[in-house]
Amino acid sequence: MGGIQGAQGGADNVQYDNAIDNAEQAGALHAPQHPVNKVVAKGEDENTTSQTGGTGETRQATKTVDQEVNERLAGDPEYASALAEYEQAKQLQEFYDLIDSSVGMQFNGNICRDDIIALVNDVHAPNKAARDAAKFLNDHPGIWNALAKGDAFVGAHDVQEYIANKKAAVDAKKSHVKSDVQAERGIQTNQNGATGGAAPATGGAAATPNEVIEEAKNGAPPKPAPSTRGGLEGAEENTSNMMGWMEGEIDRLTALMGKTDDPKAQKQLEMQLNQLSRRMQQMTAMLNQITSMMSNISKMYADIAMNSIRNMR
Amino acid sequence: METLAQEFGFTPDQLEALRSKAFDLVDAGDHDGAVVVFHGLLAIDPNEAANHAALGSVLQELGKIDEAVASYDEAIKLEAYSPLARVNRGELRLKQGDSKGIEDLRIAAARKSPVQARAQSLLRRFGG
Repeated sequence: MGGIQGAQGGADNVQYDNAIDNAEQAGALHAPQHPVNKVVAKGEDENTTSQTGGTGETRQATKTVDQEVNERLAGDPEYASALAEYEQAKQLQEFYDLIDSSVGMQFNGNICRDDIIALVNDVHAPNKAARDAAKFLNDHPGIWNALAKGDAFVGAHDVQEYIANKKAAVDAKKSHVKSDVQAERGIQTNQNGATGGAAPATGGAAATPNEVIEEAKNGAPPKPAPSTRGGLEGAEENTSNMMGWMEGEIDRLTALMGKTDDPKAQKQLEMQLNQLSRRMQQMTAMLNQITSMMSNISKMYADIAMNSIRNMR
Repeated sequence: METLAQEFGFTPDQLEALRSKAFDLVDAGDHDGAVVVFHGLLAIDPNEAANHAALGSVLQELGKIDEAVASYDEAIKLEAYSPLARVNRGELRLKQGDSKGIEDLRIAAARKSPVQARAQSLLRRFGG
């Protein structure tokens, strides 16, 4: 690693950094246009609702849930940004496939930042397509930085995971807006005096094993929206949200266990509960470690500051 | 199957921040704490070979050799060329008298940059 880039010396590094800055701007300007309308048009229509006027003479058809979701998403810059990142990520797969198929032996199925830089710098590279692909990645440093985690090698799995993450962000945003729309419609319908809208109440009545298993599988509450913060703050927020969701899920599954005596259903619920509990414990332990370390660091800085003040006296 | 990271929308930089804290703990000499953070991180995202490899090296440092090897195995399962996992597992295997360690080290040592690979290809072509 580091062959060509290392050999270029400081001046070239500065040049490279400038190029990165320029490329970032260019990347923003030339980012693929996001086919928002095309994507949202694919949404499945569902829950067509209608409102009956007070006199019953006119029936004003309202938008379907998906139509309204699509309209809201079309005007949502966060969604557009998530979609843009997803589209770029898909181009990354093309890049990776190209690199892997054309110079797969050289890369051993892995790529690293120096590989990219080396290919970009090598104007005599025999494989022009691979060099073009490397240039694309070099021109979009944001993708590489998010993907590569420093100078580590990047394998096919990393690429797929990166794309999956970007898709998950798009889906999460869509799902969040959809939940909002559905919730609003539920309230609206109730205000109009009609029935429905609210989630079916789960009473204490006994249910068949299949019903319980089905409800355990599909009745989970929606996942919390991902944190918009980056770095450790975002990670802590997401972890806390996740633990909150898991707590709710543990309560829900525990309540479901009381609804059946079927050993098979109970066993399945128990397994799910065990897994959730184990994860909760892991998350709690992890957050405790991090919090305790942060508090030690704060204390250390406070001690340093206090010593400095004492020394000044 | 979706990972927790995907389900709850953890971004790569958030996961990186957690990973960085694990390394901070290693630097502070708190290897047990680092293991806890790596386990948490891997519960969120079990598909990250580099984290399995890093966990393996911390466990190796703690003398938990079997667990370390299991982590390296996992890393290599996810990323066949994971250099850290290959080198450390290779070393552990050889120390235990297992000649399969040679294969691990060969694979790690064979990792070339494209420029190196091209140099080799040119050498072959021009008989150097």
